[in-house]
Amino acid sequence: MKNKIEIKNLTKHYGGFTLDNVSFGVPRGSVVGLIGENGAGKSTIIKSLLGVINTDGGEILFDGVPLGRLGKNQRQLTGVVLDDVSLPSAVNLRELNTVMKNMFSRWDEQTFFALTERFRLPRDKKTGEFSKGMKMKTAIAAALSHGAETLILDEPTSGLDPVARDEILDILYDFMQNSGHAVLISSHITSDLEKLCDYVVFIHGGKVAVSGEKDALLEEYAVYGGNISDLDPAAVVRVRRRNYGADALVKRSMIPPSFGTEKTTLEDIMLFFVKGEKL
Amino acid sequence: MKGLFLKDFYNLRQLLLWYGVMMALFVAAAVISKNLSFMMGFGVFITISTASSSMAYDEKDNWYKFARACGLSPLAIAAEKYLLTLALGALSFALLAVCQAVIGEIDWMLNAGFFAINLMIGAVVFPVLFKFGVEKGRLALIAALVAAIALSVLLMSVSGSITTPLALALFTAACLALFALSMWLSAKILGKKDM
Repeated sequence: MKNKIEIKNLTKHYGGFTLDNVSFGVPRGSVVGLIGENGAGKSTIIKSLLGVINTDGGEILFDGVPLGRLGKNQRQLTGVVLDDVSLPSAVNLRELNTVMKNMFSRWDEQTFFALTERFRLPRDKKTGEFSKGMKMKTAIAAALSHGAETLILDEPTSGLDPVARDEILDILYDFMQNSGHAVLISSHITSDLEKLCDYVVFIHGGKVAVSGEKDALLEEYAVYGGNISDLDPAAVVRVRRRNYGADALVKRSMIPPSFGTEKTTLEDIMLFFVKGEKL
Repeated sequence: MKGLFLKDFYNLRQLLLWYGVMMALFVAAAVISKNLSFMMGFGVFITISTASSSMAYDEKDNWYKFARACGLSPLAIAAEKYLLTLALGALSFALLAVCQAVIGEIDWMLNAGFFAINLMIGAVVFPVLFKFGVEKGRLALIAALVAAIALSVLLMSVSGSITTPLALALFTAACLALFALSMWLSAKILGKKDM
């Protein structure tokens, strides 16, 4: 399957943080979830992909073309939702439509107003007076109104109530009805990603800790709550020790069925990698 | 570019209305007193402070990040502020010429010098604002505006003694070149900045 976005050995150094040789792809027709704790490097990856920070190494390709060689029209084939929204706050939706119409060559105001209607956003109120959820919905409506084939979303559901999050996920499901589309979404709300994603990339300490097809990952790992010394050490990926004992993230295929493991979630995997230790 | 202008217009409409009212008062005072010095100083103030206010809005809204993420080049983002300054400078130039026509004769040499001062101040201030932000660059902005007003008053007092159109033409051309160089520098600063 051809990748819509290809990231190879992406590196970026900040003061006390390094994004270290990160590589992964976003296949056409799929949703890739970028998960990890705060400060893991998710936003740095997203900003690198959008060209709003300068990287120290690596390559970013969109449909095989390096990011730096994309023209304005090609760049506009990517819809963007930033964690802080970053839209003008002194305009209402009608004015925002006018601004965007003159910024994007393929702006579709019918789509924009249809989406803002669907999100029940008032047209004549300044966006700066919107709630966080309304601002995020505005950003999503804008990102979906200029003929984007790829969506890059940085924490779009963070801080939103479950109803608003569900509405946003519905919109993303609709977007993915076109098999030529692709989505890269970062979030630390793993339950949202578990519903939506086909692939998951887990970033920890600036590196890719785990990546792969979501269902395969959830099938590959399991949580074991029994006596860890009974396990084959090669089967134990991470251990979380507690006052009353320990839990282990294990490779399901290496554990005898009689040991009784529990199904894992993306959140389990994330917690084991962040808080757990190797045997 | 049109989208960027519209965004600035929506952001600044209340400020522009206020500046318009103030300018009307300055124009009336200038015509009545037949002294254009303060009107010219205020013209420079409006020109530079409108562009810097639009930058302050952009910083508050994190607009540069969105614009860059949508594929707008650093040069396009910076150029819009310079074109805004050029447009407002031209408007001040035209207003000055109208006032001169009302009270006497249009002094094209004085007006060209006045226009060039607008560009020179913008050329000095904008890279500082792009580099450090409007909040941190405020000191440079205030210093530049005080210098602009002083230069305007000085230009008024010496305009009669500038008899060589060539000298004025060279000064204006130098300011235009500085303005273009400054725009290029601002684009480089924006391009190197991590948003």
